[in-house]
Amino acid sequence: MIEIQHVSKRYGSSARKAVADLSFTVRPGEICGFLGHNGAGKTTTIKMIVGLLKPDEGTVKVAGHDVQREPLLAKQSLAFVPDTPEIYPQLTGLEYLNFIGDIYGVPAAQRQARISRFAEEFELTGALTDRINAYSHGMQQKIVLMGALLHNPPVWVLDEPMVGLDPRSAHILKELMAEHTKAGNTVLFSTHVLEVAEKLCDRVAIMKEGQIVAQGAVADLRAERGGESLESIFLGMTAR
Amino acid sequence: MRQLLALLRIYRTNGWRSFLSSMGTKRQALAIVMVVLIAMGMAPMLGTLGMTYLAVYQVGAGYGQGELVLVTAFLAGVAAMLFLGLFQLISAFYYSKDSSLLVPMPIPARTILLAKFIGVMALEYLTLAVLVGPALVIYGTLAGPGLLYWPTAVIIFLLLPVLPLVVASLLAFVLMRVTNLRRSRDLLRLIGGGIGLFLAISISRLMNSGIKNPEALVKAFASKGGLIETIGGRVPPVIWATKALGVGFTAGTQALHFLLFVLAVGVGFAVLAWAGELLFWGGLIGSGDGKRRETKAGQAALQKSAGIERSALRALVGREAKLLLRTPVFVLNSVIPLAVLPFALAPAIGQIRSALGQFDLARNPGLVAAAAIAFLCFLNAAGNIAATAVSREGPYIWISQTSPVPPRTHALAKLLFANLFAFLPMALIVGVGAYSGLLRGSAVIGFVVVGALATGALNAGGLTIDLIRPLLKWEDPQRAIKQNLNGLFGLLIGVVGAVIAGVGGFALNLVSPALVLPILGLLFAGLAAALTTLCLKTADARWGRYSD
Repeated sequence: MIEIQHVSKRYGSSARKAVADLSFTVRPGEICGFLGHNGAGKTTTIKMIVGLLKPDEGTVKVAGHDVQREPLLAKQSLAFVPDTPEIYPQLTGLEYLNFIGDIYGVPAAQRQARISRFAEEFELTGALTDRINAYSHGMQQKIVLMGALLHNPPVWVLDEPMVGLDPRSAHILKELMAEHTKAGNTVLFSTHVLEVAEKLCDRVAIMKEGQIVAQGAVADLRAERGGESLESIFLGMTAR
Repeated sequence: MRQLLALLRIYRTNGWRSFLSSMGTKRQALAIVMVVLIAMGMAPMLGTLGMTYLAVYQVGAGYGQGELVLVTAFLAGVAAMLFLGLFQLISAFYYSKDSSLLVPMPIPARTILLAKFIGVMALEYLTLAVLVGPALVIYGTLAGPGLLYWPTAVIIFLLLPVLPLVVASLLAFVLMRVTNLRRSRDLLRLIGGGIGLFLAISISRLMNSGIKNPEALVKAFASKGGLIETIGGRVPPVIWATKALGVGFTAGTQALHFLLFVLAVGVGFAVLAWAGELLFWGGLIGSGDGKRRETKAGQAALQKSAGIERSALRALVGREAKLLLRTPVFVLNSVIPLAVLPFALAPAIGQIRSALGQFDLARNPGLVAAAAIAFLCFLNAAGNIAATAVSREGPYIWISQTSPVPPRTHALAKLLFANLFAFLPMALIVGVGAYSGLLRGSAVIGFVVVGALATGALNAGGLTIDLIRPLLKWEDPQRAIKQNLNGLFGLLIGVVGAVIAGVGGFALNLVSPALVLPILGLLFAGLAAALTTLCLKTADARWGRYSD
């Protein structure tokens, strides 16, 4: 579902590559946790997957579509939640969701059903007609999530999606992710919360200085390193 | 003082880097080249202002009162500082992101306030250089003042913004204390802008009020320094600054008025510090708080609203309209000036008609329409709709970039909205033209058709520039439209369009009045087609690169 082949990215004239010859795949039916310290290259990689950045080298495919050659098909196949929930503050939550529905061509019946369901689950129904600039950080994060999931694409790419969410909403999101992958879809999400990654992910990929230094099922990684916790593995792998 | 200098150093570094980023570069040399290019682009405007000041100087000098040019320029500068300063000060004092960092630090309110005040003042020198600089140079070159003139002029130039900005600061403090608008910063700025505009117009009226009475005017021309007193009498520091520099006054008078001016500035700073200690914290603390308005959507509203499907293009045009009309700072820059236009023009319509009476306009409807198109080009560009369309998306651009909609559809939606918006100034011009009797019958149709083609071309040109170098990194929407060089480039394109329509129309009218509108129409249609193609191609090429 997500295939990254020999991808590199350098910002401007910087000597260091933000992402260096990166290759990995997230398969259908899999939740993949993307781990790494700040500046490791996670967000750069995610931005290349969703088409916000163009790789200097290599290819990125989403649901079989090359992000550079077939950008519209790739974008139609994915949901993206950025690391900061910045959305049009002058629109109401409902106007924003309707706008996203129009842009992604979501049929009215599906739109109504999904907005209604998500709004209820995230306890946002009462605030849907408020302007987004009146929302708290967490509420904005919820609206971004609802917008991203509205067209029910097969691939979800979420950059630190739990930040700002209350425990109940974070729990619901985790359930949605599990439900989505059970149906044969794909979720890639970055996080700094190792406990979440350990419990939720079928596989994790640990990045350091633009490269993946370890990847695999958490159980396999632990077995390879004599039963160490994911935290110990992460700290050992990413030590500077 | 140590803390003040530390804050000023930070503001200088941050301001300079913001400036470089607004230029679309990290290199100082490139930024300087761009500033020079922009200055060259503005040369005609500066030239016109310089010529006006020269004429004012010559009129004054004819009556032994060359200082008239100084008092005029100083008043213009003070009015501009009041109008522009209030916006900037409200933003700097109450809405800058550093407030949450500075408030918990052991820094006195007056220190934070002075640092922010000086930061705003530094920005205003650019405006002041344009408005006052030419007058100081003209007077210094032609009136033959002594060597002391130049250093004194520099000091007065540097201190001139202090008093109007202190007045604007006091207004900002009062607004923040007596109103409950802290959370609605855009509305607050809208009110602030209105007050600033009112003050600026008041100064202009004060200038005019002194010269309404013919007898007083004759007396003013005849008596020494009479014109200065008549025009600037209601704003004493302006009189003091003028007399400190004027060759028509003795060295003692000059020194006395210079001291008075400097003293007034000192008092201004003291008042600012005192009022700041008294009022600033109260307005600032808690400005980030606020409860969300609770309105229940209800399932019915949800079902009704979410049950309507629209095309992506229509959704994008609708979003453009909502974001523009719901962001007061955008409305203030793009809509309000147009709404004010009929009221601004109304008193002058009679004079315009009598001035144009010598021409047989009824026989030259094409020429009238061409002049109206020239005016439309300028108004359309001044609205900054197309030339800031991408920049206005700012930090939210990721939503458009990650959507499965072709870049050219996004560009087309922005262009469509800008062209639809152009019907607003068009309708106003038709209204004013019809009311005054200048624009009638076939001229109206010609104006609308060719005007639509002209604005289509200019909007495509403006949008192309914004697609190439959008200003996307902002936290305050004001930056996207007011502090965006693309708006200036758009204005320059508008001026080119106005020149094509005006000069071209005049030239064609000399050949044959019947040719004016058809030829202009063909010209603008060709330009619109070429620039729209360029715009859409630019969108395809640039859209995916804004995060690089």
